[in-house]
Amino acid sequence: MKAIFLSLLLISLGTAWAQTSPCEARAQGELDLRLEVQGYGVAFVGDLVFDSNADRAELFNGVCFVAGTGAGAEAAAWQIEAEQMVVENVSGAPSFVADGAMLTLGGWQIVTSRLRSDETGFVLTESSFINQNIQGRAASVRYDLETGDTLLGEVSAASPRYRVSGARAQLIGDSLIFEDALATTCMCEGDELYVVTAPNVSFDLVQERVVIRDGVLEIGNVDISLAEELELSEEALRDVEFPVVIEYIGDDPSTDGSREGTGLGIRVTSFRVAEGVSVEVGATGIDQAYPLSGILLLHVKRPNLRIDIGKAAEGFQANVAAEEALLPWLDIDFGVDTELWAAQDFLQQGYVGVTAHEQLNDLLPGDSFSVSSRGFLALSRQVIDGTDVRSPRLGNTLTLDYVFPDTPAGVFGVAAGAELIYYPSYRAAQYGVQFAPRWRYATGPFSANASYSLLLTNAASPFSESLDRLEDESEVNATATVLGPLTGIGLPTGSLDGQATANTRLDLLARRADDESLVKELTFGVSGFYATGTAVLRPSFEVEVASLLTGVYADADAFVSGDISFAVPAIEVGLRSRYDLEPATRGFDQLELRTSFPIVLPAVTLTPFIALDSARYLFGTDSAVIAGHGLEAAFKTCCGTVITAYRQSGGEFTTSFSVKLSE
Amino acid sequence: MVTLYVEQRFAKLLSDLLFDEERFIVAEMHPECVWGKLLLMNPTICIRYALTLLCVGALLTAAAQDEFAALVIEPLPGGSAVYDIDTGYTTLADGGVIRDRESDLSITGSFIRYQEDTFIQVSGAVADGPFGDLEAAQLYYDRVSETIRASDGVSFGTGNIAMSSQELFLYLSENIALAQGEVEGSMPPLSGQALVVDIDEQDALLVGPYSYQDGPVTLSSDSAGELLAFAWQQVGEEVDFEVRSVVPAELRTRLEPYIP
Repeated sequence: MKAIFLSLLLISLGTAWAQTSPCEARAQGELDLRLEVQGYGVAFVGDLVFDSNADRAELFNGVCFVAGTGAGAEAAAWQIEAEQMVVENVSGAPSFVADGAMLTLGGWQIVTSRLRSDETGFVLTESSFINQNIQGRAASVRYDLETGDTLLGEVSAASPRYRVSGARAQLIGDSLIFEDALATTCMCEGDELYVVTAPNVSFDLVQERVVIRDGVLEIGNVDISLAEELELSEEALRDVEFPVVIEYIGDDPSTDGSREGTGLGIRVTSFRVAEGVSVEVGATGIDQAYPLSGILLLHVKRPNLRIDIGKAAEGFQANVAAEEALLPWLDIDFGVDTELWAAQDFLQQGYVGVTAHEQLNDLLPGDSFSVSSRGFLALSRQVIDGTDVRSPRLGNTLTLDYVFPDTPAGVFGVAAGAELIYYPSYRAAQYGVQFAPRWRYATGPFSANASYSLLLTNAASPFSESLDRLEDESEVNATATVLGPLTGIGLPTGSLDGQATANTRLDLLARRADDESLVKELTFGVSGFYATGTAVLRPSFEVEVASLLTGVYADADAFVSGDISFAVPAIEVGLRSRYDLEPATRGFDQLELRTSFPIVLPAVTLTPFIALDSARYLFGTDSAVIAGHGLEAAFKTCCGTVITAYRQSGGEFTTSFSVKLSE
Repeated sequence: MVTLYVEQRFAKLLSDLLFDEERFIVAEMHPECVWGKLLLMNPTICIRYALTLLCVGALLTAAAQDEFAALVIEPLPGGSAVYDIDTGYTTLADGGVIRDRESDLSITGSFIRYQEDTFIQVSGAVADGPFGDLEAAQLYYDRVSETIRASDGVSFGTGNIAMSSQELFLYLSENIALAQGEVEGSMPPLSGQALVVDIDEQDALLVGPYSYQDGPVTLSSDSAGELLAFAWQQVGEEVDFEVRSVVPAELRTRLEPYIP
């Protein structure tokens, strides 16, 4: 009904002002009657009646009310156009009422059923607005004359590609900033195929961009958490992973395939049943070799409360965690954890903790310093290798982090921490001291990171590592990357981007054991991206040589691999090969040919994917195996082209949901 | 020196009398020089004239002070009134007070010249009457058309409005005032090119370019000839004004003819 009313209002205003709006008439030299109102601006009016007894003025036959002096060259902060307007309390603090008025704020034109002023600004009811390609409606609009802030309530806006609505919104420049918002590309009436809900959504009409913060993609009752900040675009929606997880969890050989939660599993991780309440359902051990285990978990997520309760893949789970701010710098948290499965050593505990924290910036210009300390009391129990371990835990942790001001040599930072936990039942105490400096440098296409982590502890906890037991650590990580377009190569057409990366991880404590390598990882990689027209060529090369350099066990086998793919719209072919460099297993262990191609049907376009690994066939005695498979289905809907897909490739199973807006 | 308090009709009577008896004397008589001249030329005539003049003067003085006289003109104390037989004008060079009982008009001025039934010319005039109050550097009362023209800086107040202007016309029979040239109102605060006021009906037409102010609100128009109608009335101790940019037809018919 409101929509019809507003539409009629717009049509009637449009008809009335089809020839000349009041301010256009003013610009053409008409409406030369000026009503200057201190604190507001100047109203140019066709005619006027003022009654001092009623202290009331009626302006009619066109009103063009502008902020400031009304000088032609002046860009007014606001402008009101109406066929008539009533001014009350003329001799005191004038107030205005106009039905069927239009308020112009910069590029925004807001047409309202009624505009009135109050002590600080203008209040509009039942309004519709337009700015370039965006139009929308709001139950209320409030413009503050002093600050220039424009707040809208119960507001919705749409461009040719997006629809966004929210409990509140603010006009800032040419953007609408929504709160408690809902965004979608579905332009059809009725229930949307999907929406994105978020506490904050920015709708930039100039760029026609919708930027979402802390958003959740809702498809039916399935919720998918999105990145902290994400632009609602083809690119962003292309990367959304559907919350269906198909995974394979190998069992510990010692348990002989009997452990729950292992084997092939499938889970829907977030099925919303109410606001902030979702259910996770699925099963593991679908394959015959592993025990079948169902999953049914209830997740409650509130601002200060989180509950996970039910049957997890591994066993029964009941976790409740709550936190509350006591002071701006002091929080309290408490909860219970029940995780009755082997990986967690059948943990059961209740705890309460108090955390003090402070952030200090610019102690030196450009630096930052944070400090936090948590004291806690817990009653914990684990069953470790059949031994029942139970004890109170009384502990305190201290964490410090300092980032130095930027230097020409890069950004340096250092983290330090200390931890002390006392176990009365065992009359034992565990300490840990950590020191972790880090460095980051970037210039042009080159960037480098290096960090060192040192942890010294007496490892005296009677509990397992899954709870609080510490281990000594002394590890170096370093990465160097060159990334950017490759110019000067003299390509006849197209563009070529390249990336070269070197990465290493050193375990300094490995020196203690003869059979462990100091160098845990040493990887070099080169990749390219060549595009010409709609065709894309992606070659890549990678080599891991840690174990070859040291001759002892590293975290990864030595190998060299190469991959090349060629894609034109909807069709992709690729070849991947991997050569194992370990002396014992040297040889090709992967020679994978993959392809995908579209099958166009009336309602849907299907693009199957298949990868065939022929390494064993060509270099061994085994037959070729299907190394990957997948299917992409693209539907044209009022939300754009919706694409759902799954792919099993390279040992990973992925599902995706994306929306293509340009078709 | 003889002071004449002359009502016009008696001045005319005196003029006729002297003219009939002694044409020469009447023709030559002048307050500035006549006495010495006559005394030298013909003392007899001079004495006779002086006696006649004294008699008539006494007669006229009594007549002028008649409370039923329509036009009473009083010089300021110590001032003089000189009747110019040539022109028929009487001049109060030091000013005086004029009371016109017919129009209930009172004018005080620093210089007055008049001819009964024809005009009264006053400098430094302060006037009041049914139309209100008026101050002007120059005032000319055309008794034939019953019109007052005040100029060279005019302040005018009537009823509940007060203003100043370069020039003001008062049409006494219609009780309508036209102020023009830099019209500035203090009550209500307004300005305009001209203002036509119907004193009896308590309404007016303000002629643009104009402005009208009420508290924090100022109404204005830059268009020459643009009209703004306003009316006022006393309500208790307050004066209410009603202002309209759309001039009612009746008001336009009534006042527009006075707009220059």
